[in-house]
Amino acid sequence: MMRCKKAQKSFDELCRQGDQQIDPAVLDHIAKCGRCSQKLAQWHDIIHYLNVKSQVVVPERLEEQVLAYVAVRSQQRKATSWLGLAQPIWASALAACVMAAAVLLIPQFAGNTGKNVQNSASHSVTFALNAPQAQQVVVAGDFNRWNAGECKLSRASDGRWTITLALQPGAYQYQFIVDGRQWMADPDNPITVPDGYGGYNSEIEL
Amino acid sequence: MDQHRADEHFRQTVFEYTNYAYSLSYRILGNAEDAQDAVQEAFLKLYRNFAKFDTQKSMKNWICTITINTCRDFFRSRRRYKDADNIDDNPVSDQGASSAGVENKIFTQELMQPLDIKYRAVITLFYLEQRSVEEIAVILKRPKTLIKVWLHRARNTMLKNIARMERAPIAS
Repeated sequence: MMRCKKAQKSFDELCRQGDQQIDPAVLDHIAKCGRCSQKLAQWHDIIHYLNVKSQVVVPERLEEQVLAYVAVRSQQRKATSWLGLAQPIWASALAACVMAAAVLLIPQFAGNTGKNVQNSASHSVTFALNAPQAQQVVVAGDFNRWNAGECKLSRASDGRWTITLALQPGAYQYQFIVDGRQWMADPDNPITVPDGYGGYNSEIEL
Repeated sequence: MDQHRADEHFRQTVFEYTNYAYSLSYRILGNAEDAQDAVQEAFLKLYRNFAKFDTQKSMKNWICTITINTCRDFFRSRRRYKDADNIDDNPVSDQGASSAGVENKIFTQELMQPLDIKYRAVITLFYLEQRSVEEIAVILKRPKTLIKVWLHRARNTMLKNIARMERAPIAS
């Protein structure tokens, strides 16, 4: 007599390919075993729910949004390295604003269809933290959905960490993450708001 | 000139695989806004590493790996900062779709939301993309035996969810 466990190993194959290539002994077991036939029915339910009930509607012109995002973000990285890291933060921010104007119209992905990649007016902002002892500094905020792995700052020789981001007009809260564990508000920014966890976020408005 | 050719190749890749990456992200993350952000971020990573792509390998698998890793990062950051109940609208409902669309969303969320991100990924790849355990192991860079364990656990959780949904039907 076949064991249930062995029969159940064929369930996926049975659901995907039908019973054409299944060992007849397995089919015989499932037909006679109430527990296995019930479990197989549930298995079919899972696949039914997943296939029929998880249809995805892709937003229109998503490809163009992706290209625009990649164009802006990849140019932004080049702009950051071009700016140099030894400048005072607000001087860098000012220079970055000028740079942003050049970054906004980027034809690099414009294809034969004539679709130019453009973006509405945005501000370049340099985030900076003086942390000579730190091994890694990241900025997380509303602008990157608080993603702690996205915006890593670059270290200058004087121990100052900076990153320049192109942000749309609006108010943004943010914090620095030092060495992956210490979350802190920006010590150079006097505007803070409670973060809901007993600490404070820094806030900028563009 | 080479850069121009590479950019054109990248552009074609975006047009070819954006729908795929979005579907994958949406099924894993469960909401449209995060899925859209994840796709953008995934293609940015792809662009930055485009020159490293081994042309002997499958571009679709590579995009799949990058997208799943990006979704995992989104999931972690969202878990820290967002209320778990704050699920945004599906474009289906945004476009004034029928109650069936809403029902689909509810059923999918009921089934997938309680699962950990790695289980959502293997379920999506195995059942919706009909990939083999071997392929999933390559994409997720995990041993085959571990993929089988994840599938087993995910399936059991989903079976329990289905049983729970059948006991207490969702009010429309």
